Amino acid sequence: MLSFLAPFFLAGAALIGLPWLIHHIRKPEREPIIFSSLMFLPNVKKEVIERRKLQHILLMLLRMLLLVLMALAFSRPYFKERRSYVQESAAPGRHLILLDLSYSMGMSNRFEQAGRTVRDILGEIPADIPVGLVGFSDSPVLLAPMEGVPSQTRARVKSELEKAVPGQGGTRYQAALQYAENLLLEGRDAEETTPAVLHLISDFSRGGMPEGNPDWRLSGRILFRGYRIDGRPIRNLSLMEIGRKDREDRLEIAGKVKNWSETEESAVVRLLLGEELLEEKEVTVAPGGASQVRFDIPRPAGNAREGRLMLVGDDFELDNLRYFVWRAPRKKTILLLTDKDKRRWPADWFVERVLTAGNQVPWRVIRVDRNNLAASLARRPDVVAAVGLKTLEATHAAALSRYVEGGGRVLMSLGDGPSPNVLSRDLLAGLGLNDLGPAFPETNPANNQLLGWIDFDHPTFLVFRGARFNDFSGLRFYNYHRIQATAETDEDISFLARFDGREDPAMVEVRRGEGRWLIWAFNPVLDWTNLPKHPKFVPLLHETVKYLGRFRQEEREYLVGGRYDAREAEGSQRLRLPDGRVHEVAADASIPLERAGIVLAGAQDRADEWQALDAVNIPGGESDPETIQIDEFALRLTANGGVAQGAAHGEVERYSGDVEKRNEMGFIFVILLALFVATEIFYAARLSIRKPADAPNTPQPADRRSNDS
Amino acid sequence: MTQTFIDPAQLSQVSDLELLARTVVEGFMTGIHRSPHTGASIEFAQYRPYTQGDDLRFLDWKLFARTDRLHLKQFQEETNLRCTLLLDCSASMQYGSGAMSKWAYARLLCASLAMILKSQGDSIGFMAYHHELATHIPATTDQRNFRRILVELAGLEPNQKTDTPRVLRFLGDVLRPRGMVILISDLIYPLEEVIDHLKSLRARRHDVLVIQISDPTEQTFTFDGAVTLVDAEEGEERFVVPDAVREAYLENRRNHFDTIRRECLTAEIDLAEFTADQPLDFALRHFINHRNRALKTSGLRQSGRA
Repeated sequence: MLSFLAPFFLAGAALIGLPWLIHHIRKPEREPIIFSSLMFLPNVKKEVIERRKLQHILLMLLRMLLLVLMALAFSRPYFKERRSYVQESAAPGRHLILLDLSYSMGMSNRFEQAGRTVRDILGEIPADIPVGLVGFSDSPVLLAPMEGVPSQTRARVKSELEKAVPGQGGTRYQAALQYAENLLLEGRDAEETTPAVLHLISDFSRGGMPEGNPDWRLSGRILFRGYRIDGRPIRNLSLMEIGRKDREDRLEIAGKVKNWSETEESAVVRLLLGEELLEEKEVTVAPGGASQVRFDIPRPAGNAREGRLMLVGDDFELDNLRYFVWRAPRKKTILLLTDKDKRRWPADWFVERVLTAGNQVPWRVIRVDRNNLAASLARRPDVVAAVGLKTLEATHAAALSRYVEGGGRVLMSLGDGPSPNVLSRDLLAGLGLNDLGPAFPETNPANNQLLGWIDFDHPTFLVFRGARFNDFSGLRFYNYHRIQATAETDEDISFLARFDGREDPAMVEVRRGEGRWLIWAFNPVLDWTNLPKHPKFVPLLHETVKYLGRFRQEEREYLVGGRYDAREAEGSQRLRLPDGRVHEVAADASIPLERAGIVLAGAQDRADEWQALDAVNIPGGESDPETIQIDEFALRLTANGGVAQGAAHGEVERYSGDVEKRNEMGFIFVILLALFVATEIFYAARLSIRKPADAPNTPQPADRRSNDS
Repeated sequence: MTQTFIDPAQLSQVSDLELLARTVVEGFMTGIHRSPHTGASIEFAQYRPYTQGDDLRFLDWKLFARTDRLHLKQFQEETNLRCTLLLDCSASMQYGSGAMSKWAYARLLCASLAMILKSQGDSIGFMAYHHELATHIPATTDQRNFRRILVELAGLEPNQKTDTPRVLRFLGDVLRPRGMVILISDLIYPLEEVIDHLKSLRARRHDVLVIQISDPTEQTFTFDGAVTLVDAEEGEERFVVPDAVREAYLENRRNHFDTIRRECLTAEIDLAEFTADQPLDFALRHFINHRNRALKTSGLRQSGRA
């Protein structure tokens, strides 16, 4: 039997009248012209005209059919197929109840309804059949196993049900169903026809569905029964996101308030830093809309403070909190390593002025003599800029290599030193590069090389993408070092730009773990290139330094249900999670997060000193009241599909997927639609190019002779 | 000297047919044509030898006395020209793509010719026809005939099919011989019978002038895009793409009118072709020229026989 998952799209079939209407509306434009006589027109056979009329009617019918097919395709038709091996009367082997414990189940009286539903299910299952209970939100948890005497399993289920409360996690149906399938089919013979039964009690939040159509489906050996918990409608606003921005001595905090209710709602948003209430604002949000609340406060003292935005005044509190941790911004350090250069404007002169231009740059530049290089590198600068180097001493090259191996970032431009030398032999060769020396024996403007290729996908050049900024044709290079990769393919080496002509690399990036070498094959001085006086020099150098200094690293955001990466606790030995657990960093690098709050870091020897490290928040999408039809749920996540069984049971919609299989066939209509569209295009084109008159051009005056002449 | 013509588009905005005709005819009125026939009158034309059966009243007895030869005196007939205007008011005449339809043009031309003839004191007759005779006003010298013609012209509307041969047959029966017949029509009907009857009219020694009216679009067949055309007389509908059929249409039309032209030439019928966007002066001038030419040839013919 044909049914539809989105039957409201069938209303689109009403557009079937559209082609007829268009033909009708266009008719006045083709109003017949009364002409003096058609006797001079070439004779067109009547059947030709009639055939053309028929063709146009066929074309109109084709277009009508196209609209119907489109409506059918959008309404997602499927066939219900009765499966013979599943018998209604068969006594199921075991029952598992899957109870949604996501935080959306805490809204209104949903969880009380869910509890009643579990008890109803227990009442319907024969006493000699074991029952299990699994709670789930982001991940499933076995609350009551099915093993043991049936009566004991029921008692366990009831006991665990009394203790269960909705958590703070989101919903992930697929993980829960996979877990339930493993439990139900564990140790069962594949030939066993007695089906196991899975009861899913949930609000069927659409946000819990996997993206797209998952490959995985619940086994056909499991009977699926769904129970939708709706609960009373409530007025609910939630804090969806939180953002921070440091502005000199001010701190701006913005929160996004979303109104999930069907009426306009007002609420108060409070900003707390620690436990101190700093400010509160009232916000009014249209139904289904969102609004941003901004707080502008003086920058807090100290290095780090935890805080939260709190929304007051709706019926559901769990989604009213958003935590954040503010850390004092730290200026990054750029070490400028220079070579002796007698030029009036050496490379370091340009680089230093570009990097220190303006007061707002988030770094400080420290010039360092190569004799102090080792000591300076020990202080772990964020970036080392070594520009215009002719050569390096072996110890310095080794120090730089160790710095990069440890995650450091180096920008190096090659100067006019002889080749081979320590720089090329020891350092570049160690990076898998071969320096063939300067491309031209003399550095003069006549050489005039251009950049022939640039990798605009690299973060350094991302800002230059687009027609307005990607013109580098004004750059000229009068000499450069010819660099080659020693291996044909080296995944750690990538070229950012190449010169025109022989395609020698102009900029090369070499990766060493987290460390990076970014090598310019030219010296940024005026007798090598016009880059220093080119408008792109400042943005190019700034973008390069921002990339190397990891300025763009996104702020970490943790959600309940995710895992915390303990490596982020830089230099700390212990972590205290929002749920109160204290975790040794060395024990496990990845810690599951179960509650919202602040992750604190502490040293081993100071038990009572904790410093705010990161904020954990609940997933915002769980507040979304949009639900999925159980029909669709069963179709997408179970092999058997299913069919709704009767009317609502109180406020709980019951659903069973045990007797029928659904075969979605929308794709057939899509294919038909494509075929018909192609046919329509071909047919319409053929009709439009065909001459209407293809008969002999002889007049037929005799036909017009008067009968009574 | 530059000559200014009255634009049909301007004329089309005037509804008074008499005013229109007077405007058009002004300048063509007086002393520009004479009767081509010789007869009893006071104006001597020529002598011709007597032949048996001639009317003895016209024998010049004085000449016989002097020369002993019998000659007849011939006189320029001063009785007015007997002219019948024959107007096609079939549905095909209704078509017009410009300011004036063929019908409006033909009607105004008819009125103008009537005014010219009236001003000469000629007998004017008028017949309008489609598949049958719509109006018939016999030719008389009564000055009120002109007014009657105008009234009839004002009340006529083109409709129905054309049946010119039938009307011409009727005309041949009722017209006194040796008059002048001016046929104003678009000549869109089968060739053979029309030509036969025009020839029969000519055989009754009528001077026949055929004025064929066309619409500019009929001559070029230019329409904007595909159109559905309906035959004004037959009611037949046909969807056409003008670019596709224009060549054949024009060729068929050219063949049709070439045949008419050739046959008229053979039968000594004067054929003049005009389009509805041309000044009416052209048609009137052609009429006057035709008359002058007819006078001369008629005179030569008379003298040749003499």
